[in-house]
Amino acid sequence: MMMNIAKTAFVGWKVLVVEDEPDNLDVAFRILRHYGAEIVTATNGKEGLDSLKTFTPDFIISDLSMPVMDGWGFCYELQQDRSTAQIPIFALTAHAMLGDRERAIAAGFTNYLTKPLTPANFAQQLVVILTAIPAFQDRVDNFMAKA
Amino acid sequence: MTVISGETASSVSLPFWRRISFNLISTAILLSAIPVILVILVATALTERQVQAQVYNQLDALVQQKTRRLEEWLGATQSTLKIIDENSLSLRRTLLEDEGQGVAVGLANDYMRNVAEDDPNILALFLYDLDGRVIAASDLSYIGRTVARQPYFQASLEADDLYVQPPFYDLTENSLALVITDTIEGDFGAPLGILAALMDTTTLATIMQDYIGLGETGETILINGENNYMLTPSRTPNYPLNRAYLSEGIADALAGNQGRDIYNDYRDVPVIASYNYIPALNSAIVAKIDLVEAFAVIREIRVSAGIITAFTIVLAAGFGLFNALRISRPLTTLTEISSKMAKGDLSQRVQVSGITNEVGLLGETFNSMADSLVSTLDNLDKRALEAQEANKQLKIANAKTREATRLKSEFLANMSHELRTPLNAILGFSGIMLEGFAGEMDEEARHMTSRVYENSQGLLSLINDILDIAKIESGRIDLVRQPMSPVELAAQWKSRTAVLAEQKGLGFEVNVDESLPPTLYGDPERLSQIGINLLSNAFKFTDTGKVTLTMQKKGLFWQISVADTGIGIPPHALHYIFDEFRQVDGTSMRSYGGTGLGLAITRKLVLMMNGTIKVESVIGKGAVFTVMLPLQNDAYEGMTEKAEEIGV
Repeated sequence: MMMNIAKTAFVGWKVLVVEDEPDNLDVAFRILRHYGAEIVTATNGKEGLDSLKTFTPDFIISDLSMPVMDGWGFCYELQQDRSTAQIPIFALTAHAMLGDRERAIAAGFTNYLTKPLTPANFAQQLVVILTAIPAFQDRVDNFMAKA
Repeated sequence: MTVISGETASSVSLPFWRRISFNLISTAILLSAIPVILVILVATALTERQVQAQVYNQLDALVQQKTRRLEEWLGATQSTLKIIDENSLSLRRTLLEDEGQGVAVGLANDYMRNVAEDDPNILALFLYDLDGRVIAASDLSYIGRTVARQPYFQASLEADDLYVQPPFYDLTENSLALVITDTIEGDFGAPLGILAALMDTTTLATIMQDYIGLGETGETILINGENNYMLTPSRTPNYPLNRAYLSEGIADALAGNQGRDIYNDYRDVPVIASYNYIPALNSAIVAKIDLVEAFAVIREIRVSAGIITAFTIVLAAGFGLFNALRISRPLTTLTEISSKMAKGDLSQRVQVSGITNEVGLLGETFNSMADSLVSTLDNLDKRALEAQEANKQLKIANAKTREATRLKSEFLANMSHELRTPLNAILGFSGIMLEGFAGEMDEEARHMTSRVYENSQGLLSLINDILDIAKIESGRIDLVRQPMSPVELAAQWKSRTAVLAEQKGLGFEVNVDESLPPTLYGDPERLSQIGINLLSNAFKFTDTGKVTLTMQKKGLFWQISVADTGIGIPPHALHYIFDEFRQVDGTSMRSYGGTGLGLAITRKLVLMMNGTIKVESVIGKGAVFTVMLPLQNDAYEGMTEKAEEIGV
């Protein structure tokens, strides 16, 4: 199932990506940038929280296992603050760690994205889960390339 | 050490009739007393009969003897009267009132006085004329008296010969008067007058009051038939002569019978009596003796018998008690000791020395049982300790196993992370390059980048499959249970594999039967893993034709089948096709790709869901994989965890 995602799909979207692995972070950054998103990156939950003081993203993508503050702690902290509790946050999970997905939802993540972050896989999943969020209903029209 | 002795068990409370002592004592008493009592009863009955017969015989003899003596006495008087009658002319002349009557009266008086004086039995003699007037007498003072109005006078006249008048109580003499009369007849048999003799009853009394052979209470009595007066005094005081007396014996004798009987006499005292009727005296003679005295012997026998019986019973009871205690006391002690042992005091033993019977044997057996109980318990303790030790070891081993499992899982998690992080980077970058995000590449660079991408992709699925298998085998997968729509599930599977059909230009049919409930419960993620795996396989091994996914209800099962028109599976391969790393042969693995773990994972997942999977195939025609899962219509029915059973 290949979706024809528009090259400008994420133009105007602000995204915070939290990932400790520089290469993976780079891949995510490059893919999101390709589709026109405005991106801020952080390498752990703590940095993520710091960056939120000056940057208000439309959604957050966070890895789960990270040093200093992992994804679980980060998600928990976001929920404690009224100003950040409403921001959708997506967990990055590995395919084999099936249990993580359910636990992530239970812990307060809005949804999850499955690695590997190949352009097709990553962008497609993101389009699907963003479309499912009611608050974004008026912004999803641009995701697909116009025939 | 408890000695079997007199201590009675308060703890043992049996009703007395259940106790051995009671049973033995009562048996001994019954066995000894019954024969004794029977013998005594028979003996007394026999004795009673004999004594009775003896007494009767004795009384009969007395009645006979006294009757004879009375008759002798009476006969003598009657003879005297006859002689007077026959010899005395003066009496007749006196009665005939002829000439010289005055002389005759004087002669008659003299004659009668002489006779009365000579005969000790006769008190007085009178001569009555037909009017009942005394015209001559042995005692002149009687002359002139009249007895005509007395009933006996008439009876005397009517009597042929001698007549014994019923006795009457003579108030003037204060004694019983007995008169015997003789009718004096004239030349032609016509009565002229009556000669009467007033009898001295002393002899009579002497005969009747002769109590020899009558013991302390016996007596003989004479009762007149006319007025039931007693002719001689009773042996018992306060029974006067001038009164009518009656008893069974008297009545029967006066009816003219002879007899013997036991009854209450005139004093209302039980007597044994013999009686007879004496016609000459018109009297009953009764010889009787008080029953109490007559049967004194029997009473004595009975008393002795009672004493013997009592003695026997006491003896038997004592014997029974002795035996009972010999048996029951040791048993009671045994019971006490048993209950002490039951409460945990196993050191208790019974003292059996000196008891040589079965109870002693029981005691010995009890002791050896107690010994073996103690040793058994010791063994048991030892074994319990051993078991405890084994348990401890098992717990340690278990803990080690758990720790090993935890380490394994941790290792797996780390491996997964560590292996995939670089792979993800490789996939990510090569993907970006292929998408042209980083600028266009020439054809050769593009080809090689895509080789990098695809190999990385293969490596990633291999790692994922290995991790899946490891997780299933270590039981670390929990199935969730949530509502889902079979129709949606099938659509999802189709959308995720449709690309494979498109790539090879194959047909793809999906049939969800309407018999299937719209909502079923299960783990959609794992079910998808199964379904997609089977579909991917089918597309992988099919080059022409189509793949068909069918879902339907089969009884209580949800049947999911995937049919293809591919190369098929040779029969020999059917039994190992679900094993790890096995495709049909080594070459097919290479030509068809894949890790060789897909079907193994699928089968394990199906088993976890309490289902079955089977495959049917014809070489060159295709294969059909059929999964049967329990149909779960609600959230909880039939929910079981099979994960651990499926583990290695």
